[in-house]
Amino acid sequence: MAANSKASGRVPLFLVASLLIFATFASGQAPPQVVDKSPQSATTPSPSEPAPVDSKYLGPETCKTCHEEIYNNFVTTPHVATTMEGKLEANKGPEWHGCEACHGPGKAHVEGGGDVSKIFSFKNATPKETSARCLACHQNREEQSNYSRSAHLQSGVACIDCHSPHHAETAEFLLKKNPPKLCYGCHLDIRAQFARPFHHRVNEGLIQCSDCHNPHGGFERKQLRTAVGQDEVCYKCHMDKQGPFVYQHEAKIEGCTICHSPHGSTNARMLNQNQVNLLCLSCHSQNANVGPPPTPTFHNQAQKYQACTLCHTAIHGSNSSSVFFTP
Amino acid sequence: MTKQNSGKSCETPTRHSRFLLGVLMAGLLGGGVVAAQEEQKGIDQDNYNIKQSVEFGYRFTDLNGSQETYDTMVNLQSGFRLSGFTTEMRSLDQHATFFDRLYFSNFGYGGDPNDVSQLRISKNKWYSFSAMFRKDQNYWDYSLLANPLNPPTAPPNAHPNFNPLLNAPLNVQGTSIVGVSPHSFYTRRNMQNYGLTILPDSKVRFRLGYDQTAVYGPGFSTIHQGTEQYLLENDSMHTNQYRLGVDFRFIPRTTFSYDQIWTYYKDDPGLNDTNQQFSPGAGLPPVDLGVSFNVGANQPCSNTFQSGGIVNPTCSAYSSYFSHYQTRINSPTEKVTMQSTYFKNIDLAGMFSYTGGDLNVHNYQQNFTGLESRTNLSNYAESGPTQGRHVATFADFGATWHVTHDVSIVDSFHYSSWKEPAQYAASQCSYFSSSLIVPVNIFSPTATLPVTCAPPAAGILDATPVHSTSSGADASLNLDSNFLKQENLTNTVEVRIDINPKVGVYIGYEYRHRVIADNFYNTLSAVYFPNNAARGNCALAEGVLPMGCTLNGDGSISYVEPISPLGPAGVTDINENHAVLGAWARPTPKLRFSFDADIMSANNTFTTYSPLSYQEFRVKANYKAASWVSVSGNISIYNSQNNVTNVNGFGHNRSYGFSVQLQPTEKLTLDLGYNYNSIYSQVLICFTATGSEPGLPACPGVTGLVQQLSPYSSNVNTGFIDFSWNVLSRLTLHGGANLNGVSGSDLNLTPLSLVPTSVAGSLNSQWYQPYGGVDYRIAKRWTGRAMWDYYGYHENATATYQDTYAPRNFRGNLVMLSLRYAF
Repeated sequence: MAANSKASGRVPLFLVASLLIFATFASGQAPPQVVDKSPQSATTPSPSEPAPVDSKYLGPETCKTCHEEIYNNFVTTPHVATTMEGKLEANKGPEWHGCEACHGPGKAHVEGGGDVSKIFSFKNATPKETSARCLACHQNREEQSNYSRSAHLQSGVACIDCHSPHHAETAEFLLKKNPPKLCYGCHLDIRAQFARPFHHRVNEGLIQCSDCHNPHGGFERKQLRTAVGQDEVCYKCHMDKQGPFVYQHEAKIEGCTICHSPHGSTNARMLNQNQVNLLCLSCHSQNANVGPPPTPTFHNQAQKYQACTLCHTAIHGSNSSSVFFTP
Repeated sequence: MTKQNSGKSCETPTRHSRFLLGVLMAGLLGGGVVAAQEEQKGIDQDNYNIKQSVEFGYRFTDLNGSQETYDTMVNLQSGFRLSGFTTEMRSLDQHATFFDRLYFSNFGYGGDPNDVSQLRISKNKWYSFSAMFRKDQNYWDYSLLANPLNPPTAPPNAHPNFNPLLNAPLNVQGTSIVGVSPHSFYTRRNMQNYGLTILPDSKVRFRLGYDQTAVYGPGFSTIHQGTEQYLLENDSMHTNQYRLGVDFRFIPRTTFSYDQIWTYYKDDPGLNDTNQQFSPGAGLPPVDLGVSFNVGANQPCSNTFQSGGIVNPTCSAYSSYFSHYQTRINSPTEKVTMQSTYFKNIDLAGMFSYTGGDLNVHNYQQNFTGLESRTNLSNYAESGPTQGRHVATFADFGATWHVTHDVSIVDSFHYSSWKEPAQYAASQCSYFSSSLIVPVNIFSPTATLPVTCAPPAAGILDATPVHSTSSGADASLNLDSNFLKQENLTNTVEVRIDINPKVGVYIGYEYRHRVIADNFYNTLSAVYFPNNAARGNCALAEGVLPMGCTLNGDGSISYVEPISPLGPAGVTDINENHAVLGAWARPTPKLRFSFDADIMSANNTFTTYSPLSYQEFRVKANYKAASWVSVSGNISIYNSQNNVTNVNGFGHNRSYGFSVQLQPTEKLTLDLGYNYNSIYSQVLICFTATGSEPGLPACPGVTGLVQQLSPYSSNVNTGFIDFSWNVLSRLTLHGGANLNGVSGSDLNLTPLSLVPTSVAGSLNSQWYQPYGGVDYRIAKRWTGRAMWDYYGYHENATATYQDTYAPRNFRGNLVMLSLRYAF
């Protein structure tokens, strides 16, 4: 089959889609707006709201006079880049720079002698409010673009529950703890699963929770990532199971978890059941118009097979055998 | 790779001398000295703050028990190791020439099964580059998967050292079978990931990426052809993925992205039968009788051996087998994404992708010589091209409307459609003989054949093949065309309310509609040679040849499958309704809760194993009782039902756990926790088995099978403890343990049989991993370390139905002595 037969259709499709989207926004383009991060604001500090003039902002050097230890740590983190001239082309203005980019304008706080009520406090804010501060800068990448709809924020988990701009244990991503220990702090049941003898090598450091899950949310259930083409994330590494195949093991439509426990299991190959035959018979029993066929009557379970896969070896799919005897 | 001694032998000799040497060195190095690790401040040099650490050492491994199970689960062997090497560089003025930040870390090199290297370099405003290399050595030899159910009885006239339960050495003819772990493998997976972002903070941002995954190595498999012959497979799989993306940020608070991704998958495996161990007669090449030896079931055949251990010539066996092919999957993907907070109080995100992939399998060849006794098949060749497509369209859209400061409405919409048509045109040539030691008879047809067949060199020309009534066609061209698709439409809407800064709730509804459809089409052109030409598709029906069959002048029968219209697709239509709700609370800065629930009901399922309804609840809590103590708790409950007639499916997965973190001083930390997980599932199954429970009802709708409820239960207790104690300024102690114990049960299909189908295995086992270590700061920047790890795996020998290959237990003591230099 000609691989490029569809290629010529993709370019017009992309152009049409881009023009439609651009026209929608271009027609309603508003003048550039400055973020209102004033703690006195009665509304949630939304990145789309207008903000006052920069006279309320003093700059990070002023903050350093009282918060020197925090400042000295701050300059070792990637956030120091916000203090650089011309660094953030997309976000100009003192309200995007340094300490006040997150904590809001500091003039009232300084004039109040360090009055904590005159500046934004992360301790007393809701998860949505604290996360909005971070997302004002970080939401423009696909990795974080779904956080406002994420299961984490839905459960009251804010950015600062995992990240710490000032007291991070890890230099990379400013995390409070190294993963997976960070994730295990809340997901105790998952920690127990990875402690089982057959498990994905997360504790060994080969892969991380974030290889399969996007902690910032996404469009899939359980905040799962996807393989290319939006297929199951498992196929990122296990691409030989992806197919397409001429003869499909259609149970895969339900996801790999129909047979496997992806974190860890007490069963070999991380299967959901200890005995392979029982797992197969769970589906291959009934005679129905659709769905898997039952086992034939000459499959005497007592005689040969401790596992159906002794014969049905290409169980994830085959290009040569309708009964998966050969790959 | 060849199978060596393994299986029933439990106790391997301990490596006492090496282990004792390790302990001695630990004592000399330890000697009462323990060290604390200095905080790494790094050094400032040439406009960079540089931190670096390197740790290298030697691991001593002492193992008692099953080497195979240890290698499968742990695979940490003795030898020198690069435990870690890390470099961090940060420019002091953020205006360095080539990079402002660099992070490079490595661990595991020297022989460990997992090696990882990670590199990140960035220069503010100009670029950000990341690279990762990971190696995973995956050794698999757990002797409780794919084993044949061989009873301990050797067939009569077998070699004196023949044992159906043991994997004997291959160099001793007539004794070797592979009854244990016939599907073992030793593969290696290398994963490389590269990503470059150019102008990361500009209005136009460019992204390049490349990923490669390579899997290669030997493995063993089996093929069913009369019996189950044992094959060696050399895997060689590669996936290369290239990514090019661009982000446009001309509109305020809005990003449009386009990604072009190309994925290329390549697989070039070869399978060979190298297990020819038994002689069919003097001067004849040896044959492989397969892995199944069950005298009572006539496996591999009745009277397997004749006098002197000679293979019964009418027994199913392979003289040779090979298969090779080249799979190529080419998948370009176009993806457009959008993220915007342009509109006041509205967050938008969207994604659209299209994939049009092609599957091609080139040079597929499968050849077999030997005998399949039921059909008299003695020589078989198959080849043919495979082609397929994977066409997928995905669209996602999400919106969050911040109605007020405290109320948000969240909507997520998902549409996906994928289709996979594929076809395989198999050319098959078959030659027949009634015996392993009698050459095939080669027929000279005058009829036109659908394929060109090259007869084997050792055949008897111009002779009549010896078919059985079960023999297949002598020459055939078989075209199978299959189609599978799924469409999925999902929409979730939620209302989220922050009642006050300390409490929030949400409630929502999700609707999901899926349509799964499959269809197939088959055409067959075949010729049946005499004798017994009227067989298979051309078996006489009331004395008459069926439609499509034509008797030829040479006595053969040609068959062309009558053209029939494509039948209706098998369609499964599923509608799911979900109610989602939850709450979070932080009544004090020290206390937080969260509760989530997802309740689903559907009108249909695709498999009997899938739930028709489920209820999922999760509760998490965390309480910082004091500055030095924190307690966490976690309850997760999942109940599922598929309680329709003849399924009776129920299941649950319930987990309860807690953990405590203690840090009474800066120098002492202690974490401990416990989790209990109860897993249960049941479903009605239909099967046939000699020795099954008497009185089972017949399977409805399926003649010849009985029906029985198949329950599965697994109760797992997991405990962990970790502590770190900086005893003196130079001395730090570490220790802890992960302890895991499981007890469970599942259905034994053959309770009356001597060889149970279901054995305890890992379902009743313990898995212990205690560890301990000392760090001693020898001098400034130098730290000596001694670490002890224990890996203990034990399957409960007293549990019901333990198998003959048990125990798979092992106890591994590992001591790692290392030196760390850091600044």
